[in-house]
Amino acid sequence: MNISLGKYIKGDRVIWMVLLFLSMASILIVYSATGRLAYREAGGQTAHYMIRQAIFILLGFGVMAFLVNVIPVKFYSWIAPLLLMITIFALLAAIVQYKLTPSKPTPRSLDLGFLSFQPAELAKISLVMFVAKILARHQKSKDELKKAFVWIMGSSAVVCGLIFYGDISTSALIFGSIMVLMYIGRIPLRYLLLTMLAGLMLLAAIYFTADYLPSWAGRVHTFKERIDDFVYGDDDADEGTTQADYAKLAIYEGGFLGKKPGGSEVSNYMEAAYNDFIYAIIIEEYGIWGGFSVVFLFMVFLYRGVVIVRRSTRTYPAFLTAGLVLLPTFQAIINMSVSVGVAPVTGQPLPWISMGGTSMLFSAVSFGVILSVSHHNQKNKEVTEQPVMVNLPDEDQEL
Amino acid sequence: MEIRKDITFRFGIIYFLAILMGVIILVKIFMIQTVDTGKWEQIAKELKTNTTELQAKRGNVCADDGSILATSVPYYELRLDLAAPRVKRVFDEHADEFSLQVAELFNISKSQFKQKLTKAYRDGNRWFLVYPQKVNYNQLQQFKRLGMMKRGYFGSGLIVVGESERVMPHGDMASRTIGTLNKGAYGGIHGNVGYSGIEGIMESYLAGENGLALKRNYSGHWVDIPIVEPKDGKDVVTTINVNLQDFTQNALMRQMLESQAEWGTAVVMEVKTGEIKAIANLGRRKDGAYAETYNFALGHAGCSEPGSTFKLMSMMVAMEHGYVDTSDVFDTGVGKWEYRGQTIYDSDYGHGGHGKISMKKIFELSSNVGVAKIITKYYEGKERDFIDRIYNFGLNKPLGLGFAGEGVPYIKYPGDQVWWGPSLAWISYGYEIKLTPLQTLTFYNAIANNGRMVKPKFVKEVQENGLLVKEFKTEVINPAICSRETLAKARLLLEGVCAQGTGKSLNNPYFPIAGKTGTAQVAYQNEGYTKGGRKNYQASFAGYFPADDPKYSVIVVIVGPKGKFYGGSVAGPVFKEVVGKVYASFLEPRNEMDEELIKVPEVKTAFRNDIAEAVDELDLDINTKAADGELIQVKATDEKIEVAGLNVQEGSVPNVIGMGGSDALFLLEKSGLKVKMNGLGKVRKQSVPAGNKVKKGQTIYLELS
Repeated sequence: MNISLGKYIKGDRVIWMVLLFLSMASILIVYSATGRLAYREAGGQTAHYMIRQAIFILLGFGVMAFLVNVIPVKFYSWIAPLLLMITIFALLAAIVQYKLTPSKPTPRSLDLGFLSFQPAELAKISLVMFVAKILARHQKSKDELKKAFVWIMGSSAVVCGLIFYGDISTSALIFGSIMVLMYIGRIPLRYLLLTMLAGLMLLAAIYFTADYLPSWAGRVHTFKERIDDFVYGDDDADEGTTQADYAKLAIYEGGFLGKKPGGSEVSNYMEAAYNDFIYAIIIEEYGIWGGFSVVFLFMVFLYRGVVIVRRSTRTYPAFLTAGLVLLPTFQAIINMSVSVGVAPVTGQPLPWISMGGTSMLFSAVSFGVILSVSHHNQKNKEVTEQPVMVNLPDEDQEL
Repeated sequence: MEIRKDITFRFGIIYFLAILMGVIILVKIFMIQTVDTGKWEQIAKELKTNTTELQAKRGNVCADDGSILATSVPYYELRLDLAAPRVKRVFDEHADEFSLQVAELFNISKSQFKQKLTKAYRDGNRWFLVYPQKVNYNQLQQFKRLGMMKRGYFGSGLIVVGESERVMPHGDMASRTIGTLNKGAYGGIHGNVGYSGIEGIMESYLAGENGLALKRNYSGHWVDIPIVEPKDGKDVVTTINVNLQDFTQNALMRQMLESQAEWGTAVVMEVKTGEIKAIANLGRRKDGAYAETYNFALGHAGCSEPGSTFKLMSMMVAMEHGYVDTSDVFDTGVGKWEYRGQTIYDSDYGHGGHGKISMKKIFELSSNVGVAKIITKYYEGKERDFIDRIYNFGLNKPLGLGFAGEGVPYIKYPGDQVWWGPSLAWISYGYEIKLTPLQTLTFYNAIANNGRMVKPKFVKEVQENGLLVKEFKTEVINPAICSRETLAKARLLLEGVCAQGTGKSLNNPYFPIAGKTGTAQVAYQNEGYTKGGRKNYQASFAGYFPADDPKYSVIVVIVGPKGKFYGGSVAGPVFKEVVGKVYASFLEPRNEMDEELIKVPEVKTAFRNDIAEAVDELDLDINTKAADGELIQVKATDEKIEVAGLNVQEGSVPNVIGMGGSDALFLLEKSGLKVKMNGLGKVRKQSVPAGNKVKKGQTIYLELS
């Protein structure tokens, strides 16, 4: 059994291990943190959400195994433009759907009838694929890089702009990750700094004009509120205790070694314990060691990304891996920062740990692609020490 | 190769920045756990010490037979948090359907409800009152089961405020004496402290002790973990007889309506024990209708000049001092006498007067002139002797019943600033002093009780789960208010009044009665003795029966009658009716032979278990398992005993005919009806027929006999 399964476990073994540990953490902590939700919406069956999470994790591993075994890396480069078009279309469709159906609470998700998903999750993958492709093609000269910058800025602006309408923080996360990816992709720092400056000015402008913008302007009001809450403290909190306060209480209560698995009490008082503040519940149950372990796992994950990039023989897989590793890592850092209170409250779940549905599958696709690249690298190494010259001059640069 | 190194290097920089962030996060965790932890300790402590009171169930106030006069029934207030996230999510889509379901449940206008709901939603109301009235347990369950509450997420905003309400199943009956609760600062949720009446004096027994619970949150559910269990209040068994109370109140009501009086009271007291069997008080409500508005029988507003009923006390003092005897003759003239600048009239002045008559006759005819002449003759210059003896009767002190607002008597003393020339004469026939009707009755009761003055008793005993906890003995105020001789003469005087005096019309051929009429001219409240030239009278009658072996004493006081105003003609009829009823209910000899022959006692329709228990206890031959159903009915015919099951169908009015009052009350309240009872015994009639669909909150009237 083990051996037969092992056959499909290809690519970076360390990443597989990291994901396995994260999965275990996820199942345990989702079980602890969803008590309140389970009572409210699943008739008190506390295992309901744990089982659901376990199923999505298993499905996710299936997706990874499929990608690493079946899909060649070249395919992602080929499909990237099409996928980006689909993403933009899905984002637009979600907004239109939101405008047309008054009962739809948010423009973040697209309801297709048989399933609903967040197009932003798709955007994370497709944009990285597309940007990696552009970067890979334009490494030869400064002029080319400049051209790449324009292309990337254009496509990111469209995608992030559409996401911005319903979800400012995800938009910022994606855009920031693309900026870092461009830095890694050797785009001149000057451009990036200017862009960052422009972006900050835009956010500042929104912050200061939020009160004057009409309500159709999306989430700008929430954005300002969250910033204000972070800077001045939440003034309309429930009984004077905010979610963020409860999160800190959970961290305080956790102490050095934590209470025990399933011993979380604070999660019962929290609205989004299974999601945005899950890191605090991890610390409550497993102490600062639990908190350290999660940070450590994500750092190992990022480190393996660096290793894969270093071993890559071609630019496209390198940029693709860098982008796909950076996004969940940054997201994790933001989530943890929010939980411990070094960043304003945003609704970013902790990748692969927070309770999720279809988003788990999108994460699985990212991980699958990363594993594919590492598997591809290993294969190249096994076959011959010399890099195989693949004759695809237009696709990407040989490293 | 240059490119690869460059890329790796750049990625490396990002990697170290990420590690830096990770370190910052860990440092922050460490800081939260070690620096400035007071705030978190505080919150944690609050969460752990968040306690709540567990309300003890208040005991019942019961009639002398255990039937319920006042009980606590749980009621709920339905509120919605319209700013709850899940409610927000579905509001636009489902508000209409939700409104429809709520409107159907409570039988209210859907459009109006939706309008209110929508407005409250827009205002972000987190405390929206769904239905203006409080609902009972049944309605609460139905509300929770509404489709939109369960599936439509509106349920996530539900806030139920539980509260118990004091219910008097017999309505207005003796309600002032039963008493009221203080609502407290938060509309009853934290109040419910007995205040007036029996609820007030028995507060320590009725209240019980509230418990204490920790509020803990388990998986999103608030759970109260009891630390101290609440102790439920005990039941108080009063002396009030529902049957007699009902009758007395009705008799008084009829007279009130006929005479259109200001207020009236009628009290029935058991001679030996001082037990108050019935106490009716009727005053005008704001809308003009008569109701138990105030406890005139014993409250300060009912404390007024007693008038002629006080002549008994005056004559007893004079007899006790040996100054007069019943046969001594005094001249009442034409019924008009000038005394120290004041003219005293007899009530029948203008009809020629009675001339020289005996003291007994003076008393029987209630001659003011006669009484005043007697008292002034012997006590002028010795006023203190007279008043001291009155004080000796205990009439200058309140009865000390403990009721809130109990009237304090007032009898002036010679030498007081307000004591003036003719005071002695006025006092002799019941003016310039104040007594509550209950005090006068207590005195008359003492005469009936061979001079032994007992304190009026309202509470017989305290029970806990039907077991006796405390019994209240009859308290003696004065074991002998006067000598045997004086007592015998006083009773003779009172019998004379009813035999040939002003109370003659109250006589009946079956048993002798004794008593005294009273017709006093009383002041309008704060407006002097006349208003618009019209005199205001107080008609009263105090007495006891049977005169030869007194069992019950009764007082009736009616103030401000229009038309007839004599005690005998206004208060008298009420007295007569009540006396007749009491005699029929308690004193008429019974034919005990008939009861001996009945082998199976009459069995009220009741719960199977209760009957089974009783059958076991009494060792009767009834098979309670002979029929199905939660409730069973036992019918005994000449040949056999039948047991029939009665099933209560959800949503339809149960058949309670033949059931005891408390069982019927329980069953009907459970199905969502409001119950009003009249009478005592088994249910004979129910105003809503069995099998009808239950309309929530509808009132059902029961007639018991």
